[in-house]
Amino acid sequence: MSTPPSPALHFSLRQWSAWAPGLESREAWLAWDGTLPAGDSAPKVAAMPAMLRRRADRLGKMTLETLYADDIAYQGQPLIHASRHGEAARTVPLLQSLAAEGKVSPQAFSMAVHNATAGLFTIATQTHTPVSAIAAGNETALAGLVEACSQLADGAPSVLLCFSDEPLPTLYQRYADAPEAPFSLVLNLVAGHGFSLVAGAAGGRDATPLELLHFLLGNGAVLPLAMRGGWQLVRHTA
Amino acid sequence: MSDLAAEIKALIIESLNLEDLTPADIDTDAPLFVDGLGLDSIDALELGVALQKRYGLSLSAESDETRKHFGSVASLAAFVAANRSK
Repeated sequence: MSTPPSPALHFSLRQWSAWAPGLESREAWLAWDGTLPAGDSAPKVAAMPAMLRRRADRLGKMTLETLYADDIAYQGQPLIHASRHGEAARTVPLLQSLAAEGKVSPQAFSMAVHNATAGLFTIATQTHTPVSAIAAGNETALAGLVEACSQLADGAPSVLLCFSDEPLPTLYQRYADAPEAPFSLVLNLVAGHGFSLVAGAAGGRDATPLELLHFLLGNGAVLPLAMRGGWQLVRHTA
Repeated sequence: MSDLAAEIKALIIESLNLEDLTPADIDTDAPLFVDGLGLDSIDALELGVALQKRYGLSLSAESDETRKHFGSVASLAAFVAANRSK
């Protein structure tokens, strides 16, 4: 039986932004060798009104900083936020406080849901745009790209795909099954044929969002994206 | 300004992450919600939990009375003074 042809999901990269401790400028990312960032610092998110910004913790601040980046020049495109662990740093203390006192902080609870930061961004920018929030384990990079390509195939001319995460809280560290780092990155993807998602390759491995960014900023031909299904990201040179 | 009003202003700043404000920025008699300071419904819940923890109050989220008590720092201070259990 012959393998059916893979559905071609494709896009072009129009613009990007990224922030991680120690990698706080475009130049730093362009010179980045792929080493995992580390540290506890957070960006200021000066572009967001203070009354909304106060709701964001470190993960949210990194996410917002990259969404507000000058290079992205947000124009109300559909927004996809993919994060493997999301607001785990908030939910652990929430659960601990629930267990100890029977009460939780309403503010922290309201921001602990997976689409909270993207929602805060759309409130601040007063955009009525579709927002998708994704968590897909080790396949989060692939899942974000599939969602973005699907929206482009459905007619959206441009979408923002944001990936952000931070290391799991200490209590959950033993479940970490992949190297973890604090970061956020935003890809402005547009309809086009700069890159294709192709399934069916043998072997392969699961790529992290940071590995995806490193590939996009480099000049490699193929990035293995996910073991399951043999997904790869293929670069097409014009 | 009473000590209790000053204490409540500090509690508002701390519990609502108003890191850019000082107690002097909060007008004791101005509205706390929507107008004035510009707090929202999540802030009201958060402040309610903080007040219950600090002063041992019991609050009903639905009542019109509660709405009045949350009108300003001055009305909150009067409510806390009359109903605190710690």
